[in-house]
Amino acid sequence: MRPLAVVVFAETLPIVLLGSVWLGGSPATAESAPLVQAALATDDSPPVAAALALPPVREPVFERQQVGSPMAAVAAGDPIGILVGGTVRSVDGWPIPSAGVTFRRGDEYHIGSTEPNGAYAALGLDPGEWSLTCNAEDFAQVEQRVTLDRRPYQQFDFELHPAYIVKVKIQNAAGQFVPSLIATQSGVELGAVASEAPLSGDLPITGEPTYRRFGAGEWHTSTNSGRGGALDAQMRAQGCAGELRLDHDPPVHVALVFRHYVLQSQPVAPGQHEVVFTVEADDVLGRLATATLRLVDGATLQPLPRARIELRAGAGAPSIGMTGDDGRAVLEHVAPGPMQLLVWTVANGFLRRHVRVPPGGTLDFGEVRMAVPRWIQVAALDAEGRPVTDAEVDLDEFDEAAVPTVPSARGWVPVDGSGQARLPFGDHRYVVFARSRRKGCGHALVDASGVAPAAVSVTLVEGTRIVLRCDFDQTVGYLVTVFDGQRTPVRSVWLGGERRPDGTMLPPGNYTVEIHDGNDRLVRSFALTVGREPLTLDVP
Amino acid sequence: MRAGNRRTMPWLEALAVVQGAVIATLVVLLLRGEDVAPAPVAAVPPPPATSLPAAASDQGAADEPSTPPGEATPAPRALTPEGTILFGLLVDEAGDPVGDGHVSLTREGAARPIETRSSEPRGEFVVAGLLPGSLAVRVRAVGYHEGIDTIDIPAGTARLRHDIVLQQAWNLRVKIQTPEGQPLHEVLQELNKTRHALFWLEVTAVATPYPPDGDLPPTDQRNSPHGIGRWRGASGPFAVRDGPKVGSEYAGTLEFTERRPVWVSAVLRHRVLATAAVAPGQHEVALTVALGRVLQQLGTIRLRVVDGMTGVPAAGARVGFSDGQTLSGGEDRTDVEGRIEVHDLRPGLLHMTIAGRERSGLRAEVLLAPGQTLDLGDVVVMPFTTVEGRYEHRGESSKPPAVFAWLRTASSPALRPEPIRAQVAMDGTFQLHLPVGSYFLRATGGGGATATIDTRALGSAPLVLQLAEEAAIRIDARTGGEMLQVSIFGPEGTKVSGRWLQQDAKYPILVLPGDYRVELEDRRGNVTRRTLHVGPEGVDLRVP
Repeated sequence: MRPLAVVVFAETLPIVLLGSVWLGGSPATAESAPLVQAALATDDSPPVAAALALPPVREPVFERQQVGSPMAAVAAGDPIGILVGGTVRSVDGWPIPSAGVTFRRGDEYHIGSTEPNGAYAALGLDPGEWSLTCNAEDFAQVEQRVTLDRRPYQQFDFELHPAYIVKVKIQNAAGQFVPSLIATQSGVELGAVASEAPLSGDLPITGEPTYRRFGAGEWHTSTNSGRGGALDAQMRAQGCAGELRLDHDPPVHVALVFRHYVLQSQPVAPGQHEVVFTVEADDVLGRLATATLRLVDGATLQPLPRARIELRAGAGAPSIGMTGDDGRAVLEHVAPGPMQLLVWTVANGFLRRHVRVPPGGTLDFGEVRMAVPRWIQVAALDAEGRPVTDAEVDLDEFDEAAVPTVPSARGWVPVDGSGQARLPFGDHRYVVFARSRRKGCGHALVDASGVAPAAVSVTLVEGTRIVLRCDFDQTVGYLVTVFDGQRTPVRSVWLGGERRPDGTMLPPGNYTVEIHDGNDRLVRSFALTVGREPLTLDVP
Repeated sequence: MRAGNRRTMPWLEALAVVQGAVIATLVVLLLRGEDVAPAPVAAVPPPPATSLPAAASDQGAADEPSTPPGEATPAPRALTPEGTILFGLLVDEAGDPVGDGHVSLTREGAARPIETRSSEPRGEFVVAGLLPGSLAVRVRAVGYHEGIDTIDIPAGTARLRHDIVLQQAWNLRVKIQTPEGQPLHEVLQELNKTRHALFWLEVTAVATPYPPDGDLPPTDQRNSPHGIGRWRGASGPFAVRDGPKVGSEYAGTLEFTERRPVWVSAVLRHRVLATAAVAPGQHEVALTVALGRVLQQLGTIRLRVVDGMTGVPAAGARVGFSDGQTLSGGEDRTDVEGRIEVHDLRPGLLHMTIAGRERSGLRAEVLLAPGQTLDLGDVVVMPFTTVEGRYEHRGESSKPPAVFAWLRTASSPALRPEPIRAQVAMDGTFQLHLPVGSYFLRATGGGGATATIDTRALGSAPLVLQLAEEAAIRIDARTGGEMLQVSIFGPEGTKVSGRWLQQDAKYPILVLPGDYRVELEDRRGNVTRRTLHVGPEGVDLRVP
């Protein structure tokens, strides 16, 4: 009798444990819900379990749907590929609308945006490893690597935590708002980054005016955040240059940065929601450089007057100059770091060149020659020689370009219905790139320094995926440059700071790879044979 | 005690047995669930595509039976995605993907789409979180007939695949070339490097079901909206990225829903430059237009800008002329005598803007004939003032009205003042920001009212508009494919509505009860007029 009562009591415990596991995971699992909450949920996920696991919602307007059961492998050749869906909610259960869910692999990405009920979907994915990011306004970003298998539908749910806000004040010793004092110089912008440990030096160089996402959070400036004038004005009135939205609660270290230069740093303790940096405007303005050049016609060497010159970092405001009658231009107050030199002329067309501006002092680009552009027809062809009508083409001049070059955004030009586009060539050698979602990628070397070819064709082939495995700290940057057999730079991938692509695509062939650090020092060089199978490169 | 023990014994035994059975069941369920987790079984071919228009969706192909709760893997805790994921492919009749198509979904009975998505380059589209019910789906893609269909989303459907087959439209490729055989758009592109005003110059194509016997009706749009078929420019400043994929020798394509004989004309806005007859199904047409003939159509407008308060010429005022779709603040400035002459203007209706120091000219419309030099004489600029007002409903409407003001007299007879729209608040107030002058006001949409004001005579008290119930003029236009302009003028002579129609159309115009004038103008410029009495119940107007 007494033993029977003990048996009944003893049976109760496993029932509770087994029942809770069956109904949706152990209480411990639920409490320590990972950020990507159900990465393994599949067509077999139990509706009941899902329903029980759901947090409360505001109102019962969203009907819960059952997930079907029979699973199949994704059909080869079906453009639908793998369908991915799920729900994005806050930790207290509210659905988050307009959240972005991005699957990224090298240059390829697939984006889903959440509906008002928090549901999202994306399709066209292939099996393999992907970088998965979920972000939403005012919530901490979630990013991790996931592996998709061959099932046609796979589910990823997210529970987002509110971002931890740290307001950043930047003032001088007299208490003045420093961003206003330096705002007279266009393109000069201060920012802040958060990191787990104190930064030991400057950040990796960046092509953008300032870092937006780095380490443990995201910087939102009050000067041009785009959130709306009233909110920004309110922040500025409080003396705040912006706010850091941390992915987790402090302790963290916050650094004041000007492009990739770290000006100051200080720790942020748990519970702390404001930091104040004291810096003099001259400490920032003293790092600005002056750039000069003389612009001449490539054929006659005569000066090119009234040309507009810009030095621009990413989407930031440029430093602008105009050439005089002698073709000379002086651009003052140029922010240091990687820049694009852009030149517009009336008769000699347009020039884009990647340059590196050192802090302080004067940088002389010397004589810049611009030939009257020759518009050359570029044809994108597939392996059978047929036109590829969904291709885009672009070109890089590489005679005068600094190699290694930190790449910036391209100006892809779509081809027309005959698979062709006209591109302007100067008196140089160029690499012409072409890409197509359906036909792959390709490049061709064009020597326009002598007699320019009448037409150029680029053959697109299915690229082979090159995975770049980066096992180095976020405070370090490396540039991977791939040269073909004629030492033409056919691919440049900058891996540093917030920009760290996980791979690239290359047509099969023999290449040489060079890896430089952020100071342009060659770290490693090796031969690479690309076949049909994906390759993994360790960087550095 | 014993008795009690004897009574509880069977109950405890039964409980122990039941609990044991429950434990065994749970263990089995868990073990079976683990076996289910690693997945793929067999490949399922994609569902058959549905042609548009089609009667039914292909939900069955993607609807899968749900798993009984006890047979599934409990381990990973998953949220069931809300609503249905609708996905599929846009393909043409040959099965090739249609990228950059636009799919819009509208809930039955609703006016606006709940979702609009673009298809990816490989034709795939996806929409998540849809509630059950019937959705009207509308698909548009360059070079294809518009597809209209209905998709039923059954309750309890997690995912629904619905492939859509688009039928290719009759796409007529149009070359517009010089007598030397050069594409005209390339010649114009070269020319605008030195004549910057020519940047907006574009010669497009219009199709009509009859040979045009003159120019088309003037338009304030960038290019003529008249004719049948849809023009898809592939060149020039307004060629869009998702435009038709044709070679650079083509100016664009005309997309037709039906194959019929048409006349295709090269036009510079409303001016017809060349015409060719095209047979049904023809693939290509070439129109020859000399550059000189295009440049002959460009006009000049001259005027003197005068400060209306002082009578002094306004030097340095910026003057601009643009079509209704192109924003242009005006690059040219008046000289010290306030004079300006603007060249290389495209013919047609142009919007004039004048901005001077603390003075602005009212936006006004001017009609420039092809090749014309138009002298507007003195155009007055005035300081701006703000008129505060409020509206009071006499009827039942709780909706705020739209309030417009028209300048009563323009300084030049060639100028037609454009209406200025007031900022209307829900609290019954409105604000008009306009140049000092005499205006006719009209409120409509949430009750109607008219008034005449002179801003110089207004006191400090807000202007009050007493709103009365409006009545509808229910227009039923049967054009028979002919172009017809239907205009309605109010008792004060103000145009309350004007629209060029090509197809049959039914639409209402809200007005205050009273007598109105209806004007019908055909494509040859013949105008017929009639009066129309609008009572409180409104009136049906069938035209022509």
